[in-house]
Amino acid sequence: MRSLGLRRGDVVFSHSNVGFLGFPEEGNDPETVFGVLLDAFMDVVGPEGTVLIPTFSYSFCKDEDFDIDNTPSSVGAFTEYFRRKPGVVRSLEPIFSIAGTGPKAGMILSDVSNECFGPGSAWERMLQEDAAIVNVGISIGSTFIHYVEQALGVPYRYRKLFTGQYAAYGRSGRMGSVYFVRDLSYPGATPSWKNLEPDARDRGLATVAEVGRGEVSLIRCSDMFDLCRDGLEKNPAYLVEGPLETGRPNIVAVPEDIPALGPQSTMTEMIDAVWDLPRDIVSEGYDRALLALGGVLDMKVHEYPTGTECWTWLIPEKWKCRDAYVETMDGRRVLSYSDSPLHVASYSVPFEGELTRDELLGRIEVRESLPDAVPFGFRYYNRGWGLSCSLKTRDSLKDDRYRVVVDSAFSYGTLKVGEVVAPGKSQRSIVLCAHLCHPAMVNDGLSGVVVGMEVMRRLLSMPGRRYTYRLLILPETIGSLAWLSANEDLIGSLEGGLFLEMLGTDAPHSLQLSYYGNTRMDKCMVSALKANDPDGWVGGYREVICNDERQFNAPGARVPMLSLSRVYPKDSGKWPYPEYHTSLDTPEILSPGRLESSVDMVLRMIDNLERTNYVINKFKGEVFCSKYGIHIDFYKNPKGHAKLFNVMDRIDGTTTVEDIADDCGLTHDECLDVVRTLEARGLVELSDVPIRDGRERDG
Amino acid sequence: MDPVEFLRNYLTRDRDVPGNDTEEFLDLDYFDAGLIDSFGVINLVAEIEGTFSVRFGPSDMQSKEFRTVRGLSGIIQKLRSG
Repeated sequence: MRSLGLRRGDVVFSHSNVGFLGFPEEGNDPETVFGVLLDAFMDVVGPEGTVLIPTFSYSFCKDEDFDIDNTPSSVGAFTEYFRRKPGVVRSLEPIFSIAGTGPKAGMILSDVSNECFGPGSAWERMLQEDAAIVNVGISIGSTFIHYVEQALGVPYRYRKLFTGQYAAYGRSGRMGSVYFVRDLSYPGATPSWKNLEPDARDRGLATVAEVGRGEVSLIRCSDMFDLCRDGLEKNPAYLVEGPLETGRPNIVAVPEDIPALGPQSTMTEMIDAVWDLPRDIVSEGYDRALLALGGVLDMKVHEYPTGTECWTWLIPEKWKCRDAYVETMDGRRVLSYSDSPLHVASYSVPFEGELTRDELLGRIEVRESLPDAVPFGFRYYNRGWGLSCSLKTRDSLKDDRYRVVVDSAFSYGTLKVGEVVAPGKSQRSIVLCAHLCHPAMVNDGLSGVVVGMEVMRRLLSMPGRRYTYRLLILPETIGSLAWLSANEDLIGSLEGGLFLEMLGTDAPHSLQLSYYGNTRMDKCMVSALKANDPDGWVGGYREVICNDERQFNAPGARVPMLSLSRVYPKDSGKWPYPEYHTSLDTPEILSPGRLESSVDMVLRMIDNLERTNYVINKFKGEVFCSKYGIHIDFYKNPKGHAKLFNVMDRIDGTTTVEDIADDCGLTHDECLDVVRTLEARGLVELSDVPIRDGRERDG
Repeated sequence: MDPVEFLRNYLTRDRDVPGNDTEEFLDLDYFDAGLIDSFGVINLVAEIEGTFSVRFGPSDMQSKEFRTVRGLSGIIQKLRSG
């Protein structure tokens, strides 16, 4: 090892296949063989040096828990031998843990980031220490190259979140780990050293010595990084088997069987065309639905690839369930994905096997209150698999054993957000938002989508709009985060928004306020609700129903987005509505006319916004009402007198019609009547921006 | 003895390996499949060299072929034929 260039005080990382060297003179039992190798390292680097050995367990990839002290290494007997030695520390890394001993082991291996191969990983710290990669009995290649691949953003890998349960330092809990995984749609992307190995030798970056039956090699992390970088610049397939010409068909293929919709399609036709598609958050079913809606209105489709960072989130993989079923041992199917996509929890991992009845029941979700309903389950960020069925079906399962098949697959894909824009005179935008991602359900999600589409269709036919209107159709939560994080430059111009959801039931409108609760958006929308749905009710932020408005209102965005729905109050026993998140949420539960009246409500809210201006006083002091013919006798008409003066008292260029109406307890129209009267006499002007004392002010 | 049969018997000696009579088994990477580990390869090498009177060199053991039944039997045949 000294002849290779390993020095006292070095940090050394080693992959080893000790058997390939043969038996040492000292003996042929494992303890002796492994001891000889470890002693060789320790003898060369000395007490000042640090020895690091991979103890990869791939735990979260296998849906297993990771216990830092007890989970064995999966990468060879020597690594297990090393891991269990007294004084050896190990990184809390549930996929690619490393164990180490020596003065720098703690610094390199403690508090590693949750990016397996990213910033803050042990690999980065090894590079910073210019550790020596010493391979024993195997080729020069190293897992370290995945750190280089991620740093350089190679196209054949992407970041994927794995989650699972960990135990370490007396604590336990759940954690996430982001792994730069190989894209399986690139058949040639399996790692290969066929270019790296000869280059490293030819350029003298790797030193090699024959030992016993095999070889020991050394290359410094910095040299490995430079070698890989230089190689990838010339040949994108430098580190893989190749070829890489066949790219990612997933993100360019247009799905087949797109339902036919056109510019005249009604809301009912839109629902009928797409409601029963398997519209999971990143899926072909979702894509088909979105593309179909694109036939109704001109829509831009934004694509966000798997692994893309959206602030603190990552775009997940695409999911497809080809088939899934439960059958008795003599082949009788008791439930099947082909009957309803809700039978399989969305994003379930593949599974095939026999289960006892009890094991199967532990995997099945039912809705006790609705015996015929199949509940909706999902596992987007909690790897595993699950099934759902009706209570009746579950109670009919009497056999001792069942066969279960979940034929699902994950792949690289793109999350899609559809955007319809109705430009206005102002660049300031109002955002309407609805989610399309609930498979085979209607009221939750799709009702908001079609109301939004109809509102936009009518807005597009209205000339002279003041604001620009944007309808975003997206997968819940992650879709909003994708769009917001990719459009940070637009956030400042978003005046506010309205999330549309669950609008098809018989319940009156429910309006959830924005985070601030008292913005111009809030006041205009509350005013419209009160004027047009006397039974409608208003709830505070997060008090009615929670959806994507949370992302818009959240810190870092703070766009005042309200939420309009028709949910039952929480104390009604029916919140949000009885068929919520079940197979009973079908077109049959939509009440006739409700969607149309919700379209009307949204348009009235928009009308209030369009008509709401700052009221600029062109007078000083109290107005001489008799001179302008607007005097109201206090004794003959005290209410009219009070209304006029209450409004005039609040006009100072910093308040809007809506502010004044809200403050005076008037409707928008009542207040506007007074303002128009004053405007007609030149006593006030209306403005899009606040102006006081002749100068623009912050509102 | 045929090297393929020797290797098949060796790898299934202590465990049941489904499909070990198929063509796919001959191309299975037995390290990746967990049928043998880095310590066990020492014993495998010792038995092969003792049975077939051959000696592996470093390049033989580092090659991709060493990791499959088909590939390793090919190396053995090559070494036997000199």
